[in-house]
Formats: sequence, structure tokens, C-alpha cells
Amino acid sequence: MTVITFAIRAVSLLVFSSITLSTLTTRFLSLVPVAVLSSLCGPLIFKPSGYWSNPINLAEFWASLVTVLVARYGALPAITAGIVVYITGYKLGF
Amino acid sequence: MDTSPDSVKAGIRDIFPMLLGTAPFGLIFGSLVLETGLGTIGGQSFSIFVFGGASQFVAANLYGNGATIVIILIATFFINLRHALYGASLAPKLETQKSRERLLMSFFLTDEAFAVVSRFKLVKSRYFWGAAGAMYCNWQIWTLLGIILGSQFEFNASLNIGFFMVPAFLAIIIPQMNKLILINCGMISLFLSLFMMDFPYQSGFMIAALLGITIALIFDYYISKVTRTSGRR
Repeated sequence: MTVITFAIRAVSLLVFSSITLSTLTTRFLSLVPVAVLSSLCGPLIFKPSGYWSNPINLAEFWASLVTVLVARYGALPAITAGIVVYITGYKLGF
Repeated sequence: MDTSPDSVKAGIRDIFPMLLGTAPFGLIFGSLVLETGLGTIGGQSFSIFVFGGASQFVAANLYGNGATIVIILIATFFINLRHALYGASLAPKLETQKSRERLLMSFFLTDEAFAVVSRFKLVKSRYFWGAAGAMYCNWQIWTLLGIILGSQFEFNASLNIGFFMVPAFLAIIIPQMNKLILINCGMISLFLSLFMMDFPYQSGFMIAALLGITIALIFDYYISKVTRTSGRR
């Protein structure tokens, strides 16, 4: 497992270090962080139980919304606000 | 942002909020290894030598269910495949040109470290090591605590522990969404992931991300073309 995990990370990091990338490839790669993190978040926000639910009834949705709104004030306030809203919503039965 | 700070301390400071987000995962994994029969040394070794987050959970579960090593390795490969995108995206941004240092850095390239360092166009080595090193130590500590305390308390199964990383990821990507193409890319990837989340070995996340990027680039191309055409009239 160590070999596979390490190899995946190492090969891409080393290969892309030694080649000259086209403008399109560079643009493509610049979008990777936003794309991957968004795709990881999507199901956790809108389908936390694995099934479609009304977002209004989801603590995850409201916590994410608060996080987005507070993000302009910094990462720590945004994360704290998101977790507090989520736990509060959970306690309230959302 | 153009260049990362050139200090270990800044890396630790910037990744600190994410350390809190990964704590529940470390605790759960630590308690999981006892149930699956990996044991204390086996479980902690997983975190020390693999440092793979989600793949550790899946591998531990598969091991506990008697899966063969081939199945475990295949699952690990597909779950971690998104890290290839991380390496590709980060490679042009790393300040260091030393292959050995880059090789070592790749071991510590997790979702959280990538999220923090990828905001910059140029990543200083000290900053990377501060962020990635802090995450690594954090993961070891919480795994160990999970192993020690795992049998002494039960996690509330209805609390969606997986959600704790979402505020951390959102806090990172929202400030980056300052251009239409980034907003489009994020929204499309998120939308597609809702339909692809059940793909085998978590491959849906990567496919959704790749499609999101492709569609956003196509949109951007046509919007630019229309804008240029309108400007000529």
C-alpha cells in the first residue's frame, strides 16, 4: 500500500517537473484544486446519507452555507462557524 | 496569491484549521484498527508508512473482512488516483528543483496539504514542510489516541464525521473562486459528483473533477469567443 500510494504521488510530481507544459495543460492543472475539493464536498453536503434529501432539512447544507459566507473573514472563523452550525443543527434534529 | 510565505511557521499556521478537521478521522481510524484485527502496531504503521487517509479506512475494512491483498491494492490505487492530479498541479509551483526533495514531498502530499499549498503560484519549501509536516504529525497523534481510547468510548454513529472536512475545504477554495471559470469549474464538479459518488473505489470524485475542468474550459473558450466577436462589432 505504501508503494502504491507513494508511487502515484511521486510519479506525477516528478514527471510534471521535468516536462514543459502547454498553456492549455497549465490552465487545466490550475483548476484541479477547486475541481477536486468541490467534488469531494458535494456528496457530503447534499447527500450525506447517500440519498437525495431536501437541503433545507440538512445540517450539512446550512453549515456549508455559513462557512461560505464567513470564508471572507479567514479560514479559522469559517471552519469554526461551519462546525458549530453543523453540531447545533445535529443537536436540533436536522 | 503569488508566492507562499517562506517559513515553516507560516505553513503550520495556515494548515492549523485543517488539523482540527482531521482529528475525528484519526480517532476513528485508530479505533477501527482494533476492530479489524490490525492491532496497535499494524494500525499505527498504516498511518506512519501509508499516510493515505481515506485509503487507510478502506484498506482496514477490507482487511477486516478478509479481502485478498490484490483487492486491497487495487482499491488503494483507485482511491488515491486523485493524488496524481495533485502532483501534476503542484509540480510547476514548487520552488525546489531537487528531485530528491520533490520525491520526499510527494509522500506528504495529502488532500489537506495540497489544499493549503496549491493556493500559491510559487510554493516555498519551508512553507510546504511546515504545512505537510504538521498534518503528518497530527495524523499520527490522533491515530494513536484513537488506538488508545478507541475501546473506551463509542462514536455517535448518526453524526456525520465525514462532514468535518467540508468546512475546511470550503474555507480554502471559496477565496480562490474569484474568476468565472473557477466558479463554473467548482459548481460543475460539485454537481457531477452528486451523480458519480457511487462509482467503484471512489473513482467518481476524480471523474467529476476532470469533467468539471473540461466543461469549464470549454465554456470559457466560447464565452471568450463571443466576447471577442461582440467587441469587434
